[in-house]
Amino acid sequence: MSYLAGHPLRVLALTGQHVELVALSLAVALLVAVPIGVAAARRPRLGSWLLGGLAAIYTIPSLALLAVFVQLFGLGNGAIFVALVVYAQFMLARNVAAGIRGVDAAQVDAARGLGMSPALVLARVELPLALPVIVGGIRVAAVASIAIATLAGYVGGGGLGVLIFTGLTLHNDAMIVAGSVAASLLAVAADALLRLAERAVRV
Amino acid sequence: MSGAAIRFADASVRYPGAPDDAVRNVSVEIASGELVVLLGPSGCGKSTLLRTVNRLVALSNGSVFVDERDVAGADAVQLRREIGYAIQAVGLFAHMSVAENVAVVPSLLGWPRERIAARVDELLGMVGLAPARYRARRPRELSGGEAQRVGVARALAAGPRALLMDEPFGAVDAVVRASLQRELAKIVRGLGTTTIFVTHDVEEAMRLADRILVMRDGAIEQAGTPDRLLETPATPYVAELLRAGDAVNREYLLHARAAMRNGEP
Amino acid sequence: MITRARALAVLGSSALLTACGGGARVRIGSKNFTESIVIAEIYAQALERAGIAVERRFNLGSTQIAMAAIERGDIDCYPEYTGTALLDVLHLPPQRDPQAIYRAVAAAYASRYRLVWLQPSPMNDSQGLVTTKAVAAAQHLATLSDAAKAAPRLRLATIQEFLVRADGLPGLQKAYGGFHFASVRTYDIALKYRALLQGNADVASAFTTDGAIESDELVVLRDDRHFWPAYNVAPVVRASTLAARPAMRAALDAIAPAITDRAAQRMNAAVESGKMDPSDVAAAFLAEVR
Repeated sequence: MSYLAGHPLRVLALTGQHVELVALSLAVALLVAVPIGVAAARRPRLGSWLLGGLAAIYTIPSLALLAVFVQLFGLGNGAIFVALVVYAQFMLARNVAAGIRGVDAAQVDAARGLGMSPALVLARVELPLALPVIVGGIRVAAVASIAIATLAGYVGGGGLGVLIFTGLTLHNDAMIVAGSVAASLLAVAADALLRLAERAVRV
Repeated sequence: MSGAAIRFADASVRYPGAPDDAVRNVSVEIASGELVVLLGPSGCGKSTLLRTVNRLVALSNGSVFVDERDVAGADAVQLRREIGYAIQAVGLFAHMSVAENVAVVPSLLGWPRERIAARVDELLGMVGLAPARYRARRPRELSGGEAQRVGVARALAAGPRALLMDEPFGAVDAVVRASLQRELAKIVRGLGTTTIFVTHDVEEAMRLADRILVMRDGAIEQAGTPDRLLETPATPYVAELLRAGDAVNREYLLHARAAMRNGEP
Repeated sequence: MITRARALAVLGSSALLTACGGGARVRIGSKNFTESIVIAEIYAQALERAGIAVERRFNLGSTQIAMAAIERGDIDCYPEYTGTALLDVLHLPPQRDPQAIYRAVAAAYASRYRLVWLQPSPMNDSQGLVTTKAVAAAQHLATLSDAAKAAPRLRLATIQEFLVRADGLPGLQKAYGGFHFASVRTYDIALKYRALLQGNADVASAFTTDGAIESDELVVLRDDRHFWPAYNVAPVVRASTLAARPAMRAALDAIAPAITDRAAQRMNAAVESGKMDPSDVAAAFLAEVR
């Protein structure tokens, strides 16, 4: 903690970068995952292919996938952003699908019978009722993303990984510890916050 | 307000991959303002037939006309907003308040906010729920009977000329069911709304119906007033179903029907 | 709720686009060792003092990676060494005169890569081979020629890059002959000195401004055939970036003369053994320059 005491603003700035990277990538990931999850919920056979494919991607070591994206998008935050969006898909899409499949069929039938279009049924009934499960998926994805985002420090990006990898290069243990501890605390905080959110959206 | 006239013309439904028709060549006319009960055991096709009216189920053959307009030619979503729909499980939207639930169809139709609010209060009153007490409640806070009443209010909110009900009182206990039946009959008759009511409960059919359509294996065994059915059941099946041969039972059913009409419990 | 999600998405993608588009920030890179990071931080702070916004993308990797990054436009500027550019990037023959080396690499980078070399610093981070005083005495090692002949009895500790770069072991073998070590082990860049000092190696490759060389126990072998040229550090900048921000030149040229051998060694030692943060070390350096 000596590093934090000596460089509070730096750690704060890097934490801010880390949060920004994770939050933005999660937002984009969610936009992509919702249609995938909805499709998987509507068509179970297609769904198991989709989710199985995403699971396979999830098992690829993050550094390997990141190397591919660095080839495509260059060094910096772009490659890590794409990697985060891709990795988050598995947890998000899976939970969107599970959430929608778990919605009370009677409420869906009533919604259709009362005259909601399929889009409205999704937007006004299915997604709101699936929200607790979806937020649960966001929570898991957020914690994983906070960890994976530390790799940004390895490929010229920002965030707390910069502390960790610079510390490794300089053999500065205080930097390594500061970066690692800060990232862990961030993950704990995100988990706690999103648990509250999960409870708040419960019907 | 007068109810819609509904006509089934040779209507058939076969579910994909099914060996038989769920509904076979049903042709029957329902007059404006009639309360018609589809009566039969589970699997006889009564729910399926009901749901062809608002196109939740697609016809494989034949047509359904609402006020002489073929429902197949209408926009399904718009059609459903003009026909009330209430189901056994009610399906109140758990994330919305009672008021928001009742307001669903009016807001889909784009009514102004004040009109919707007034209408919600009117309907809650109509189904016997004091608006001030129930407006802000959540569905999980309601008893079975209260939920069912909200379901009816929601179905009638936009003033539809036809109402489809699929065993709405099946999950409610006997005492509550009797008062729900009575109140429903009073409401729809007062409004003049044409009502198709599905049930397997003979007594319920007797109490409510202007006419009963007894269904069996997807077809109508007999259509007629309750009295007629009891006096002259057309087939042994109908006789068996109503236990028309049992004099005591007949008396009981006729008495129940009369009591309904006289406003007794 | 849906509209809120959509708003967030718009925000997110627009923020991403500005981040990817580079905005108005000059991106400074560095290689993955102490001195490169420290000097890059000096450049970054010098530019910031001149009012130019900077984004730091340090610790990228080897020379190859840094070059690839600047050619692709992932970074705009990074500190490079004249000798490294000459031998390792351009694969030109070695030269003795530091000025001539600088002119040659500047001309080649301009025409081949559209990269501009700004003013070089006096600091000469040459490569070298170091050994302990004990080993030097036992094996009679004073020059690289001595080591070339004695190599079959010696264990080498080095970094991966040294084994493959043109001005590393392959070049040494060509220039001096011999240099076939009894064993070769690669280490992390700063751990190799520990191997040497602990007796797990006899000879280690080195950079002459490494903080650790200041130790009393280590001896740098003399480059008697002058294989290694001067390695003066200078900022290498994309021509397009410099054209858009001409103020960069004045800001960086102003501090170039102050990066001397001594300054570099002091800063490296401060970071490596003193465990100071490079940004603090760079700030202290710049404070003395003004």
